[in-house]
Amino acid sequence: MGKKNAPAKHRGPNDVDHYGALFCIPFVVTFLVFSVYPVLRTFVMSFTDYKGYGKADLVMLDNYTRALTDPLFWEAFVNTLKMWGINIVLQLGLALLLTVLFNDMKYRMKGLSLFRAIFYLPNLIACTSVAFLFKTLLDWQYGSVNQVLLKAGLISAPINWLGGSGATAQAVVGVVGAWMWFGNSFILLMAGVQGISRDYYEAATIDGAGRWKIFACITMPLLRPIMMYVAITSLIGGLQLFDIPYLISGTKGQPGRSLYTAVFYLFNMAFTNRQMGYAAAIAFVLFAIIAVCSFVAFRLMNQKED
Amino acid sequence: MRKSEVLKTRLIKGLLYAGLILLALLCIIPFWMMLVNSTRSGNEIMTSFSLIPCTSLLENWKLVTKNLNIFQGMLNSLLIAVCSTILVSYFSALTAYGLACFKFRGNKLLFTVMLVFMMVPAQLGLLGFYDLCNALGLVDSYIPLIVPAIASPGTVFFLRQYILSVLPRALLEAPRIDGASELTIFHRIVLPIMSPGIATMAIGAFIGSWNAYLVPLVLLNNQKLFTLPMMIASLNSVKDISSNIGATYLAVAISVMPIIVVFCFCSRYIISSISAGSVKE
Repeated sequence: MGKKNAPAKHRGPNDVDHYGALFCIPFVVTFLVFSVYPVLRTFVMSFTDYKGYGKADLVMLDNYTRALTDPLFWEAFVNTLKMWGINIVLQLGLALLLTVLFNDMKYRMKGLSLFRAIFYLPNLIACTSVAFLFKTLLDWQYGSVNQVLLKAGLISAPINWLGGSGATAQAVVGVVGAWMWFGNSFILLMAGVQGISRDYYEAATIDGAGRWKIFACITMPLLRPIMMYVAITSLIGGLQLFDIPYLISGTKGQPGRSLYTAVFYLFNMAFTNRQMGYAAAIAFVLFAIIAVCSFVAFRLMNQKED
Repeated sequence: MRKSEVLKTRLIKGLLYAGLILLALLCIIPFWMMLVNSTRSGNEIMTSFSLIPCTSLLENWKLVTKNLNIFQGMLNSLLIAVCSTILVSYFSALTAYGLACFKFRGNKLLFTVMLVFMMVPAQLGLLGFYDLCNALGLVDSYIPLIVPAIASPGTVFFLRQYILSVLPRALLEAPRIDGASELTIFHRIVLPIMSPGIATMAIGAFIGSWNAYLVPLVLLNNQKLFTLPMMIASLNSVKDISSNIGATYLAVAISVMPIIVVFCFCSRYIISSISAGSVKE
């Protein structure tokens, strides 16, 4: 915190910088109580055989060894990755495509507010309602989707979306996730683009820069911080996938165990099996994985800055 | 421009619009099906498909309201979401401003810790959080669902980046020279300039809170305190409703409608505030 590096904006005796610290106090206090402490408490828990009540004995690394060698946990983790993978590719790809489309100087697409509102709509609905809605719409025998497809002659027999093969059910969850969240990513990316001065685009167009040149040299670099934000939050959110698979599978992870996600497993361990200590260790293993991924992503996307 | 080129541009533009409209339909149709199906009886839904409303709405309505206290759940969810959105908007903006525009001791440390915690998945602390609430007697209370909103690292991070890109420092100098207090400067100058960014994050925060399922599920046992998502999730266990698909659709529709109605009114504000000043439509 070298004072030499401080910009010369606050000259003289009216130094106001301590106000910055004051402004951060409510955040810091709440943060310590409701974010930092629970994490530390969970960490301590992960070394014990705590059951959620009563006394706990120290078991050192037993919970971690168990988690790392627990095939059920890894199966759940791979399921999570599959569903998130389908989700993020669709979600970010679509959002970026739409952002580029609506910023195109040549086509000047109209109706941005309307489309943005419509695309954002699915994001407003509680996951539980979405899960129930799709569970009902995709019902094998009585679901409207199969009825439509049959009527249109696109399929000859009803597809068992959520009760047949695990891969199909996972794909459904991934697509439903993308359906829900692409509008949100789109809004964030658009907000980022709108932070970019229109003059850049106009100047570039006048100078005869092509669409891809503009995209590569103006939009992408200036969108980088927002892209990073969207990508990292999506990764963190994605690996925490819980409600939709939990509810769409009727809280059991079926078909097979294909919709059993990592957090689903954690939840069952903690609140059904009452193995809080082991569940805490699972939370930390998950965290370690997320941390490594985020760190790599952060580095990759931040390379040219600073 | 030559004529053929104009034609080509128009054609491509038409195709692009067609794509956009298709995507928009994909977003709307599931809701439309939901509304239509909530006016049909279980039998009708099982045997046929229709995009036109039928006549069993009243029947389904009686079934739902008799078996589910859905409006209580709606009020509960609204209370939690509104309170936490106000907290998250105001305090995140304040913290972001403090971090972005002041060089105080610990600034970098706080920012780094925040970045680290942004990567912390919510359920890393879930068990400790549950344990803490248990110890403080906050199970079956809304406090743990509202107050933690004051500290939302993700929102602060976004708003800090936002301030850095939209707030000209020179704007702060004049009122400072005029002797305005720092908090006044924040309220009168910084907040209005930040409002598009805050609005974006507030929407997210409201929906996040409204949609929240895992934490309320863990913390609330008293049925009277159940949030709307929890009620919908428990539909399966209400025999009279789950045995009639029409009623299930209606219950989901009731849970979805208020937020769609609110969005119809707010979306204008939301969208104009986000695009204020930069998009010329």
